[in-house]
Amino acid sequence: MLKTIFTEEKIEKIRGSLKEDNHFFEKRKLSLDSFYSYPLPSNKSEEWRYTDISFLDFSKFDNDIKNPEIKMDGFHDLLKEKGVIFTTIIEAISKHPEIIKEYLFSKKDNYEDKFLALHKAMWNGGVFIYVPKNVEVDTIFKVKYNVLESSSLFNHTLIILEQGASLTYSEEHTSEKGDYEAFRCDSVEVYAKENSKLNFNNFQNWNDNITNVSYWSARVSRDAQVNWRFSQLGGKFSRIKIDTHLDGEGSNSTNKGLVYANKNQKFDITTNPHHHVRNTISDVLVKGAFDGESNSVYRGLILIDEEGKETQSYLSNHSLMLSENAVSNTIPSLKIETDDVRASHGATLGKIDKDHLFYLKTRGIDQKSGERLLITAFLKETIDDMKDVELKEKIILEIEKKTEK
Amino acid sequence: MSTQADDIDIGEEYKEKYGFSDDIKYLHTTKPGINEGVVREISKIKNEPEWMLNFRLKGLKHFQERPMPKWGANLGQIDFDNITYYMSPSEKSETSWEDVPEGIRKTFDRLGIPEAEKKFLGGVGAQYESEVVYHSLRKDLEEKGVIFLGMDQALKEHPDIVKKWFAKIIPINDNKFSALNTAAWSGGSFIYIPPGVKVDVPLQSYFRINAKNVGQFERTLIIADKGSSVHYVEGCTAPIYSTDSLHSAVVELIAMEDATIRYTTIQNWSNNVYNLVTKRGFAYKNATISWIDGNLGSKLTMKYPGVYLMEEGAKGEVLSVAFAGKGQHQDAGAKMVHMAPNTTSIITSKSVSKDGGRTTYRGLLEVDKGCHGIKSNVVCDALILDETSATDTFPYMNVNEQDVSIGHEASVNKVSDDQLFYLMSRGIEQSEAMAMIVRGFMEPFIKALPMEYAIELNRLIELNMEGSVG
Repeated sequence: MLKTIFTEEKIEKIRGSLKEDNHFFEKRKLSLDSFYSYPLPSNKSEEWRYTDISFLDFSKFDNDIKNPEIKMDGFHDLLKEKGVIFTTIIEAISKHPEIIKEYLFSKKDNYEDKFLALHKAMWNGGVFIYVPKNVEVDTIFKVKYNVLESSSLFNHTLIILEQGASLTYSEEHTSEKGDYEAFRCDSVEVYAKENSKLNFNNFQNWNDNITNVSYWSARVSRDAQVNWRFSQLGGKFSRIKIDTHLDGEGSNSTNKGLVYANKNQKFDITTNPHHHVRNTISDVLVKGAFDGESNSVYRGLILIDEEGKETQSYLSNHSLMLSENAVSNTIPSLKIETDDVRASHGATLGKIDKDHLFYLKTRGIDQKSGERLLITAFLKETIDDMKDVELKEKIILEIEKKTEK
Repeated sequence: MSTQADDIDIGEEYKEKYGFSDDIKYLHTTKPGINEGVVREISKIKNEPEWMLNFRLKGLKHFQERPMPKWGANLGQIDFDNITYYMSPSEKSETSWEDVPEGIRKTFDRLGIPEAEKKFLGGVGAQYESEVVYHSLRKDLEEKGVIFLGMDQALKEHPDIVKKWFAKIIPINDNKFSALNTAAWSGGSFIYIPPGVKVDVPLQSYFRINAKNVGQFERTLIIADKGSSVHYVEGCTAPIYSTDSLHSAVVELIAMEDATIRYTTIQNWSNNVYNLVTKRGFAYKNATISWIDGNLGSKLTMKYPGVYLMEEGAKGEVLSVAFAGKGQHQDAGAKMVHMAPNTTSIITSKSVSKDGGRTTYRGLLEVDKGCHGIKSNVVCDALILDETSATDTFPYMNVNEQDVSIGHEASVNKVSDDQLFYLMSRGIEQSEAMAMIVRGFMEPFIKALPMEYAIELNRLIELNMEGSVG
């Protein structure tokens, strides 16, 4: 069945539309082979133990190669003069093929699963950002994706910050309402060179017609910093795995995110900081509010290699249970191969505090509004320090709206 | 962190104290390997009822069909065909040490079991290879109706109770190693505490492996009837060999309404024993089950004592310490399954790894649908003493309910230089200072032990800590 959907002809077609050279085409073919060599994940494999993907039926999506609507904002001429590149990856492939060749899927970790292999075979859109040495981007680069119709979409975001560069990037995902289903299988790839700094903001508020399986990763060099912020509100099923590789001494990363699930929504979030060298710092905070019959999984694994002495790593996960029919699975883990580290994680699960609600009621705030305030306040902590204030306010507004549903 | 002191073999004293072996003539020994013939032979030697043989055969079938677990530690080196699954050193279980064959009696004398019995135990069982060689219970407890027997003897004397509860807590197909135990089980303890009886002195069993390449598969069942309480303690040691032995026990506990069971393990197998044990208890209304689980020995331990909280007000507790030295992997943890409202659980795990050892905490906390008012707290602390050692923490939390209050914390640290410096500035030697810090770290566990065991454990920690700093 699958074999008739994801075929070599389709890759040929992508090659034609992207006008890419053979280098890419050969890689796509290899990835397609490995896509077929992986079994569809089941609860027998550890990573998918609590996530049932058997509902996924590729034939439900229109499989013609399409791109979602994409809007880009924040670029200006001065940046262009300094050598900053902010463009679609399709354009970059013909204009800057050498850089793309050097970086695309060149990560050392070799992580791959069925879906990432599919993405590597089929990627056909997305954004490319390159910030040269010591350039600090003074605007926020914004990208808005809007899914319009039934489709399978494979967007790739490639961000390269050279030494001492800095950037704040925000992406927003929405979809048109309608009687259709779409599949997204995206990937984000970040290279933060020495002493550079990236703020990466993501907000997703699809309708419940989208299934998403995405993989993000960052390689963080000496003294560089990558700050992930993600807010996941929409979709029928959304899985994101984020690997942060702290490759250089003095590198650090924060990863803060929120998930708000209701009805039959399913979320599966993984945030893994990987400390490869000494003196690296990571701080992870993930909060989830779970309503309706939603079913969510959170995994966070702190990995410290033998070389990773003097590392500090903290991970915390808090779940707010809003319905007795919601399910939450939490697996914060530690894997530590050396001594002289400070690593810890904490997790809590609980419901809305009755005392807090009561307090609000004594101030004349009714039950419904009280709940809205408490849910919003609970989730908001993860985006409090978001550099994109406009996006932050939008997310808060959408959280409040969702409490009404 | 250390210099030449690292070369000191911490096994030295173990060898002298526990690591000796006896030259024993065995009455029955099955051929190495496990198959239907061996299982039938064991059952025949034991002269068992038909239903037990069928049970064993079902276990064997499941063991053979079930793949090795892919998660967790490396089990690939276990050579199942080279293990002897049944070895019996004596005809029957004695009630007087005088009657125990001399060679075996000497062993237990050397391990201090009869002495401990006189001093502070309410009852003692002693298992040597596959069979229980000694079993006794204090008269007053016997008069109160307490039953404390070897499992084989219990099957003969109380077949109805055994049949009713056997494999009810841990079904045959629970996992590969519990299935193997079902096929090859021999020995273990059976305890029944009648309603309202509080046993205020611990009952103890001691498990000893003596021969090479042997498998020990004891099976323990403890039933605490309404309002009763009992504290059971088990210890174990083995000689040091270059080839591996296998210990795969199944322990089932039933705590009826208002009953309390405390089950303490001081696992101190030699470093060539695979210790793959399934332990689980059902706690009914307002009952409490506590597992106090100390893992100091073995090559590899995989053990996750569990409590199923079946009815309202039930309470589960696991207090676990693990110590992994050279070549050791302690993959231990706990399982709490909340199946009824207003149940509580506490898991405290402490681990220390040194000299390249690895400790793993692996735990599950599950709250089933409809179970409101759940309270659970999990704390895991790991201490790493040198750079070659490692630790993992894998706590699973599966929550299907809204009205819960759950907390989990884990931390990994090394012994801080400040603490060491402070103690040394008070004139305490570095190695002693290190041992003090480790003892302090393990204190919650030591506190939960009967005093005599706490002293013994402190000594064991000292033993394991020797040569840790140079």
